[in-house]
Amino acid sequence: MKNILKSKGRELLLAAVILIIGIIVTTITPAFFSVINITSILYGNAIMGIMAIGMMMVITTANVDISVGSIFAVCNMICAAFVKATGGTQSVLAIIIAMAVGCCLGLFNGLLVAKLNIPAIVVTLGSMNIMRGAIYYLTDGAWIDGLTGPFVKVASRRILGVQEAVWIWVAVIIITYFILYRTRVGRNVLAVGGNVEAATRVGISKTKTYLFAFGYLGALVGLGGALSAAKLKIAQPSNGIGYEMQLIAAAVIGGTEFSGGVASIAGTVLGVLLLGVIDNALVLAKVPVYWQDLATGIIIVLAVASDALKFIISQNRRRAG
Amino acid sequence: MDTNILEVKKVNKTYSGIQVLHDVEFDLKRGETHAMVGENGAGKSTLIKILAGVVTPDDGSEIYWDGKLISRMTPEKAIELGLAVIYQDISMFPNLTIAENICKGKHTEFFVNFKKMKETAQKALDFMGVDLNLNQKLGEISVGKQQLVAIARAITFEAQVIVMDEPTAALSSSEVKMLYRIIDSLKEQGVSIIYISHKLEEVFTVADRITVLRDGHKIHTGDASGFTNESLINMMVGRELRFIPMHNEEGDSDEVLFEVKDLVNPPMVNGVSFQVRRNEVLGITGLVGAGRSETAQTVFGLMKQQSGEVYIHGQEVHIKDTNDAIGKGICYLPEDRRTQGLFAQQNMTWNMTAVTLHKQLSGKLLDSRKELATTEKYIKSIDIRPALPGINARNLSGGNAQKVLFGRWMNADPKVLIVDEPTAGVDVGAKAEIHKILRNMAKEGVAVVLISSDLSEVLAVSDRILVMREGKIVHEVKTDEATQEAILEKGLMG
Repeated sequence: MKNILKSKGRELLLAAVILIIGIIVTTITPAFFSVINITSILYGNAIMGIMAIGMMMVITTANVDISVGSIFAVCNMICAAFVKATGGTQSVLAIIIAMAVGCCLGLFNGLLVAKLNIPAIVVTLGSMNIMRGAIYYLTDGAWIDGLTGPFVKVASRRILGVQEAVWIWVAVIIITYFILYRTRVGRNVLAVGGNVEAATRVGISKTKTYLFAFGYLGALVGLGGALSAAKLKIAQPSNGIGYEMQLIAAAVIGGTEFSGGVASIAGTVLGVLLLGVIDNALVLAKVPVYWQDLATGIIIVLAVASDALKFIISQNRRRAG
Repeated sequence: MDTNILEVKKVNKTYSGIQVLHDVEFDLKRGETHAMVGENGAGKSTLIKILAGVVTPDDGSEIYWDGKLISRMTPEKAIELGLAVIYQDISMFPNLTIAENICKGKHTEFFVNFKKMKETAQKALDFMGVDLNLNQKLGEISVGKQQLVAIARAITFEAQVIVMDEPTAALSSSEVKMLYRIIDSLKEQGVSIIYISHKLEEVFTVADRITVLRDGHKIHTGDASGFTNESLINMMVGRELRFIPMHNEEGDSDEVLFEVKDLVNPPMVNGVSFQVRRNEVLGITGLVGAGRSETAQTVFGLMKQQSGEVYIHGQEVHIKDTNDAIGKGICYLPEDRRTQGLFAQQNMTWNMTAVTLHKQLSGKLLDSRKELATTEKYIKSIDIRPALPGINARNLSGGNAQKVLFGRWMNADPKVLIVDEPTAGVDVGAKAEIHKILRNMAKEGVAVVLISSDLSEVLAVSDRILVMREGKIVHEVKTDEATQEAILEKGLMG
């Protein structure tokens, strides 16, 4: 029990905070803890949750991708255009196309970061603007709306009373768990992120590992873009602006270390839920929408500061001991 | 005039349980050049860092400046008192001009006065008799000239004591002469110099007094004229062997397991050839910067070779990268286990199996039971403590962390194992155990190459010794015919 507390302390703390917020909100609006509201929170955060898992993978390699919002918009629009053209009959193909496009864009980022040795934040700042500009140019800023057919049911269709988007999120979580802890490529992600010098010396390719992480993130963002098109039945080229901050926040709040080498899948899921619950609570409590950014910011600072504090304490202890 | 500007007494320093300095005493008179000599790891650098306030000594150590006890030396305090250290890897600003580098931190007005700055800088250069363009960026001039800029900086700050750590390592012979002249003029001004060098002829040229350190002990301090080449080397290496000799008991074999021919990777590797025979541990020694690690890293595929051939069991191999090297049976235990070997955020098992994940699979997925079994096997066979496969790597002691890395490579079934300074920062007991591991691997048919600066270790464990200097092998000797003095002389003087 003590061990669980120690190794999963962050995750338990997040769960507790989510619960406490829930209880406080329930006293104001009893609707919060209803089954309907809980499933709606899960459904409302499923798309972000899927993409946050991808962001966690990239951060674990000690990189970051801030072009996710633009990748999202590109995939979202391409998927919607395909659905529009086919009348929504090819649901699976539409999702695969979106994921493939996202994966390619991610690989492009990964290749630049690995081969040119440019910091990821600079590379993706550039590609963010390139992709956003391209999608505005190609679409002339026009929306694609009125999506129809079986495709539009993909995200919202219920299985055992829960929306399909939530089940897809669960599947992504399980698959990522296996990749990260039970396959060699997952080990490589943790190794390269933790100590790239040592990783090269045990024969791990930095380039391949970066490509995998960025490609995986891209594919999951593509999946998010497709699900969003299905859920909202509309796509617009300005979609996804600001997503990078929310995704990075969710991963970091969850205990994934920005310096690389440490990932937490459960923490990332809880990070997304915490941000979602706070938004939901503020809405239910009728707090103005501007406060949501403030609340998100405070939580990020608290989470990161607690890490720094823990680090300083452990350093002092080591010096004393 | 006869007072000591700087004196230390009873200086001890312990790094995570390993004592690197034992009751060291050292004193420096005004206007003298005092050379500090010793093998790698003798404690010179640590002592200098203590003087400069970068490293805090153990309690009870005493540092006196001009006769006054300094209770706690900090880098700021050292600069304020007038102690300047010119490090081997110069810590200056390549992106700033020479004038700015010389005067950085000197003028504290809010606005930078370029005219005043250049005057100050020029004064220092004139004093040294050196001609440099003040407006040039530091990064654009040679490392040797940068070293001179560092000295100019020390002069500008009116340093009383200047520490020069291997100052001639990057200097051309004319620059070395210039340095000698500068040292002379500094001495006339009453500036004291602590001069650290491996090159004994330099030491005899510049030093008034010499202090010899060995294994963290002060061995002797005396006037330079009282030393001879031989007596100095004898004091540096010591007489007694510190390790139990473990040599090849299977007899010499003619079978060559591993061969490197004319390996070139400038500037550090300039035509290296050697063979490792069956049952043999080959020792490679030499000074830091002699090209030993670079040779190993080139063979291992970490650095691209310019030319050369590598043979394993008589078959020529071409190594593309590290992954390729490992696949072909070449394994390399790196020099710095913390930065190049361990994954500090992960546990022992994770670290142990990092190169042999293909052996830990059940179907396509990693099997934690297999990983655990592998780890437990090595915990037992090479006695890793604590015997906890789940312990975090950063909590392992130096010796046990190193054993984990040995386990990592042993499990990879190497044909060739190159170990680089395997016992650096490891306690004596673990050193002996690591020696035993090397011996056993050689016995099992692995070509073992031991790179080490610790001569007594090389003499104790290897069967044949190569001495490297400036990227070449300058001396080869069978261990039973070798003496420490002869090897040291080859490595130091060529």
